[in-house]
Amino acid sequence: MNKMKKIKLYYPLAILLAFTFLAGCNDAEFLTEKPETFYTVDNAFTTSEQVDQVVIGCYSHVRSLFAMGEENSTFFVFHGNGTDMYDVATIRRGQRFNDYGIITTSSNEFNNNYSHWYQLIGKANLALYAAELPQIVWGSEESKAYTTAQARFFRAMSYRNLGELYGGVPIVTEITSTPRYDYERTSRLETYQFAIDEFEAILNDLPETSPIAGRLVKGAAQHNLVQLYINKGIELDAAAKTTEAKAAYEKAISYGNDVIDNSVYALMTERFGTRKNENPEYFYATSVDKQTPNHSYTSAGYPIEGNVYWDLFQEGNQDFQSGNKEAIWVAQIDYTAFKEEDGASRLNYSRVYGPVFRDPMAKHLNNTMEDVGGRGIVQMMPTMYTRDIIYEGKWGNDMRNSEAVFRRTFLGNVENSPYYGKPVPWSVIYKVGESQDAINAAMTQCFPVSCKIATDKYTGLADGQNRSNLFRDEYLIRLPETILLRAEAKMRNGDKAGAAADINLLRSRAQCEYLVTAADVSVELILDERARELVYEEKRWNTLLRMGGTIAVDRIKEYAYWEDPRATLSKNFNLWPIPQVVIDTNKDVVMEQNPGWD
Amino acid sequence: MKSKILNLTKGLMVTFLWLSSILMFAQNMTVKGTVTDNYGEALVGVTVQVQGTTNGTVTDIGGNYSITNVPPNGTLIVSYIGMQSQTVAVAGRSNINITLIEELQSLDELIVIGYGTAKRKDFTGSVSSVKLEDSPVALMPNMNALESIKGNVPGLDIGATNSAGGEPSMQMRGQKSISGSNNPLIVLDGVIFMGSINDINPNDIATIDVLKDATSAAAYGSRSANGVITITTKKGRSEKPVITFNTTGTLQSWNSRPDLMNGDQWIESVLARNNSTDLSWLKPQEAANRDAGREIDWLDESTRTGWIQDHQLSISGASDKMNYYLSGSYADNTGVIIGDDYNRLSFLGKVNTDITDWLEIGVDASYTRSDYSGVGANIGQAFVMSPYGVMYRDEEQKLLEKYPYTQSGTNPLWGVTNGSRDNIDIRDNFRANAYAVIKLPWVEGLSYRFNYAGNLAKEDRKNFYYESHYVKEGAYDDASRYSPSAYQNLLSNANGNIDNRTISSWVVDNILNYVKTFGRHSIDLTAVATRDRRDYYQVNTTGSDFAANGNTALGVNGLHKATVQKVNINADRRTNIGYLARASYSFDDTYYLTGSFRRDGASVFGANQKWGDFMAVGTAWRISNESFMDNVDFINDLKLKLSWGKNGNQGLDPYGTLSTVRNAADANARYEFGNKSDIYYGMIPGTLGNADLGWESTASWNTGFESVLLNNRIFFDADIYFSKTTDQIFERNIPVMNGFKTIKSSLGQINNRGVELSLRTVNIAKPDFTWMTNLTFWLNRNKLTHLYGEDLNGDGKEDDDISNSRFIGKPLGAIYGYVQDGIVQESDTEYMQKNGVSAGVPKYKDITGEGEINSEDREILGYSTPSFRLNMSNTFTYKNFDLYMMLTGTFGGSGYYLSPNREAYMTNGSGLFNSNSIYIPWWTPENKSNVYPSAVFSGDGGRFMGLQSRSFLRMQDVTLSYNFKESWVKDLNLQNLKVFLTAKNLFTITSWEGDDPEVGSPVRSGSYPVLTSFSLGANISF
Repeated sequence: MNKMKKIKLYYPLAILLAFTFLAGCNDAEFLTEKPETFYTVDNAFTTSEQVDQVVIGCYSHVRSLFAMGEENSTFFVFHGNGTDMYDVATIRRGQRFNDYGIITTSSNEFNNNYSHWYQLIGKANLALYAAELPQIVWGSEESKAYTTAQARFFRAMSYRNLGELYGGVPIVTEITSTPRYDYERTSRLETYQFAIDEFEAILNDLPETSPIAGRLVKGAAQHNLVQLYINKGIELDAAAKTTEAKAAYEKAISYGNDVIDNSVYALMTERFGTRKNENPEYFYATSVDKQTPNHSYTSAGYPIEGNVYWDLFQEGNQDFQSGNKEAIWVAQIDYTAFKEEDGASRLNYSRVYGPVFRDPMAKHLNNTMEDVGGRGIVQMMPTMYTRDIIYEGKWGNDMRNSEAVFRRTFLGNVENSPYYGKPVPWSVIYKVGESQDAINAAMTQCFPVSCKIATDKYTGLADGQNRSNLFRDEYLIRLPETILLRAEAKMRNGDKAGAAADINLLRSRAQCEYLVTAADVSVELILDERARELVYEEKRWNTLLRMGGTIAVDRIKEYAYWEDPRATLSKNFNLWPIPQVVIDTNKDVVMEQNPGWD
Repeated sequence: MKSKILNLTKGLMVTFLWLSSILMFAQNMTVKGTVTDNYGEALVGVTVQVQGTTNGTVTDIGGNYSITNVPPNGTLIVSYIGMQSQTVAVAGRSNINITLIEELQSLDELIVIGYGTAKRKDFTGSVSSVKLEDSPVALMPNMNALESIKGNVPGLDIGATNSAGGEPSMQMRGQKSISGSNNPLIVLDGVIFMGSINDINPNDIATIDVLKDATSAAAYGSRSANGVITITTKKGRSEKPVITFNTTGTLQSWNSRPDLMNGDQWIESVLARNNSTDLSWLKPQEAANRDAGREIDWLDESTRTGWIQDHQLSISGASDKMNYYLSGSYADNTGVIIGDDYNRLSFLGKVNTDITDWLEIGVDASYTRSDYSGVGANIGQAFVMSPYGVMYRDEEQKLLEKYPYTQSGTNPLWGVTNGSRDNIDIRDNFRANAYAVIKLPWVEGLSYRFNYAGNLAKEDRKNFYYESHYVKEGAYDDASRYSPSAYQNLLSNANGNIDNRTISSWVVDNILNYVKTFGRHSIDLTAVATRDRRDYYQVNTTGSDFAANGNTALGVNGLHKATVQKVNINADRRTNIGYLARASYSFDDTYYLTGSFRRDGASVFGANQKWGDFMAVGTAWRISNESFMDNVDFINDLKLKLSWGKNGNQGLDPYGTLSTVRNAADANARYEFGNKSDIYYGMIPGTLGNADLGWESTASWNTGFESVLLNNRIFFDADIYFSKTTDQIFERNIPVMNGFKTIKSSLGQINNRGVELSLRTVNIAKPDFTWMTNLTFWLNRNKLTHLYGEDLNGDGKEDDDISNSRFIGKPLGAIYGYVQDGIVQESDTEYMQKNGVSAGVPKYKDITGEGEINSEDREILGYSTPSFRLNMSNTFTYKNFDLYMMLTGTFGGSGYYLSPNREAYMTNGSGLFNSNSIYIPWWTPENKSNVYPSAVFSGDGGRFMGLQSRSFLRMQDVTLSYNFKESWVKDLNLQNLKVFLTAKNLFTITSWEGDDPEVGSPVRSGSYPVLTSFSLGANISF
């Protein structure tokens, strides 16, 4: 009896056991991952708005690349460190980029830069992939066309940069779902051609102008085409295909004409914008409470006169939409957004490019106020070429070398200095007569300050900003660069007079006493004029490398501040190396290294 | 398999037999006898009690006892501190002499293995046990359970703890995973523990068993490649309820605090490193302090005497049918670094009871509240501040100056003591376990156990920065910076966040166990089906800009008044399933064999690779049971063992295999079109997924022996192991043309091998005096044997990954660089000329011999991993005194255990021209050094490393306790009264400079110190 009862009691338990062991049926479901707070490629896209968001990702990426989004050596190099125009200070020798005992195919700067372009291409390809998904509904054909045109612009622009810096590279036009290891290099010409074809294909999908500051317009594509056709011509010339080269230059000139001679863009010749009735004003002062009228440069007898070129770089003046007719494409920066959450919405130029008078010149020019260029830490400095040589002789009288634009007068701001309230002579600043170490420290940390990297009126001081950042928009394409490209195309096409006329458009606007003649026109002149007009704007490595030959190497050796390249630059290169890690990881196909880097 | 088990149970049901107990009735009697130890010495004060009653007595000075009213079929329980308790059946005897055995590692002691227990003597694997209950180690003021076993378990490396409430790192038998977790799995009271180790109160722990080899850990196949730490909490031990009160108070200090330069040294150093005589950069107030001879030691100002108080009250009891343990404790730690505070309140309740003779159920629940609120002082800033800097702005020393000196560095106490910042960090943890054991009646020895463990952690973290936090830099006498109007202007900077996290998890185990002894054969069969799930959910709300609101009087609770408010949600889930079958067989207590198989599924792996199979086999031979050993008198017990097995590691976080797309704030790709300030969010590719990612698995061999020698005076255990970890999951570079630079891949192999020795000796055993020594030694060597399997340079050997310091055939943690050869002297003209350097900079060996130092001159300089560890503890017992001392040492040598410490050699190079630090006797032409570079040397792009050995020897634990056995203790109805003094990290011998060698951070790193502490405490039970 007892026994029977107990058996009954255990029966349900046996069933429980069986149940728990059988529960394995839904194992697969139990182990499936379903992320709840983010998207995967499979569920991300449902609306056309999201495709535009991918395009916004491209804009953001480009701003980061071209407006010094990160403060590291890769960005310094992309912005010209190690070229004829920029070098490093004594205190930044660790990131020098012209010591070819150190620079190798494995240098991070190359890999990071190269990767940035392909990551941007990846974003553009994602936008193009998403745009074609069946579930995406577009408001209109035009809106789809404009969205995809922007994505293709970013992709084509990346290939132009890759072609200029690295030569022929693999062309990738689709997103990756499983990694490939078998990419093949194209020729430099093919890379350029891909970019040309793309830009030409989207020309009609881009508007002439846009009501939205920062969005891409047709002029930006045309400008790229000018540059690409010159690049193509240079390549063809190098291959002795003169006729084809000439055709390319003519195409370049023609696209240049489209931009320069139409009624949309024009050089600014009159004072304009937010500060058109003001002059820059500085105070020799080491603290805010001393920035009083009796410490002003004006009261000390050194007033500074504003001019239109200075206006171009004042906050609020960069957008075409606000009346700047030479703005073709502008990276958008906004202080309110910066404060709110977009830490990338700023130009850290005062910090990165700014001088450090306060260290070698502490006796006369101390602190980090406006008068010494703000809170600079001199990550890069202009070479003597950039600051002085290009203005020597007849070139000096130039608005771009005016006190407002390229400030060379610094009044001592330390009370017990003999130069208090008086200009500190450059012989004192450069420590003439002292030890070579002292001279090097002074010359590399103290230099004239461009209005492109500093200002007399910093935004956000009341909120705790410390004169490191500018909050103006940044030009990605400014008409003078198009003009200089057309001048170059004309020169290469044999029309030196035409080239001189183009250059004189800029020289006239800058109210230069000396205008160039056809006889002056040469690659050197173009490069010098670019340095005068586009200092802190152009990407100098692109310019030097796309021109081919030994231009880059020769000029680096000639103008570098430090001896390193003259001692170590034995490589004869006119392309950056394909990063070693790219060659190594692309294991299924051998990617050839660029000449000079083996 | 599932259906087979079901058939088996059905079949067994048929053969069901029920055994009823036999009851005996008889007249009660008086029992007498003597209690001695195993050396024949009489034991005084031994408790002798009749089981199941309150009837008991203690032995007199001659060890004699007499107890009346004992049932002839009753059982005596004989217990004495430091000895193993014994139960003796009376069986009608009136005279029973009892020999108690010292409570060292007992052969019959139960150890916790996966999903069950085993007797140590029957076990084939490698397990180390640390008994904390009633041990001197438990008296240490350890806030974390792991600290308690540090140095006691060969093969287990526990790192240093250097913050209030901090969790130390841990690693078992070497680094096996390159980028995955190397943490052992924690099992609490038999169930996988998915909470934070800080939520287990060390006072509640009875024992910790550490399962090291593959067979021991195999029960937890999927996650056990790094070993398993099983923690068993206390339970009731006597019928009479025992109330225990433990209390300690601890003082803490920074024992080897670095000496910062004083004012004169600092000025000398700054001028030398800047090659200048100019002092105009001193701020007026710094100059004034210098003239007045006022100096500040900023480390002094940032620290205080630390204080820990720890109180615990517990009640426990046991009867035939029931066992309970309840405890509540409170610990509060005011850290040495100002602002570094922690306190913890915890409760634990455990009850288990035999409902019937076939059903046992148990529940336990715990609640822990940890409070990490507050911000610790910034030690990094304290290191670099000017000794002439300004701490306060007022005479009363109440108003802090944010920028004490020339550089923009902020006061180390800014935001810590001045009220400009609020920080709240409170973590609640609830845990509830329930189990039921059913002794299935059909077959004797067959039982079914069901476990459910649930854990819920709630973390409430809040931060708020008031506008006053953002005071601007300015002249010292410019008080307007701190004026209400200046603050008002800074309102747009005020910001805060509320970060709420919930981590919930559960584990369900179904365990079927069959134990049977047939004559000389014993078998133990276990089958387990288990599942667990862990959910993480975080809501982080941020608010900034209070200009529109007008003030921040509501602090973080006014976050909803901020102009900009954002919410960010993070969530993930990981799930696991495991099926285990294990069989153990022993013959004649001499031959043992264990085998197990486990199949595991884990959600974190790629869709194609969720499941893995793990298995292990172990065998042991108790050679001392063989007849041929009978006349080997000096060996009491000797067991040889050998095991092999394969276990897994989950080297991935949830969703690590998916191709993600990032958007909104998370993408960090914002843009602002037009001249409005609207922020547009970009959408960007996140990661490239890999559905083929699977288990990292470790196959390992373990062999060794356990022995008891010389009449239980020496216990000597040794283990040797070899392990091989394959399919490492790590980020692997791919051609960036894919749009991604890396993808997670399974590649590579790491081998570990090592030796572990444990020697315990009873040196002196006299009634009044015993001395025991415990030595542990362990050594691990690891070797990277395969990486990506590529030979791109075509030299016929697999390529190293130099950029990540991974070298085939070498240990992980290789330090690769230039061999330093002193300092360049003025006479080294050729070297200077070839390398373009001047005298006073570090000099390097020219390995290629071409004169110039370049990347070809690099080689492996050493390894960051230690060579071996050696620990020794001694326990002295004299009458009522116990003294326990533990020396721990981690040793380098032959290039092992090195770390860069540039800052111990370089005067310059902090990035600040006038930073303070320790004084360095820099090289000058007059005062040449071959160790320290010149003051102007500010680094050479990473070539100079200043490698130092981190080897150290530390007096980790000292406890001196006095156990009151005087008669007044009994009169007060106290069962036990013990007072103790302890010292932790009493001294450390090392050549490492700056910070603690075990933490290994260099001079001026700003990391928090490892502390020395002294405590006084008492344990009272009644």
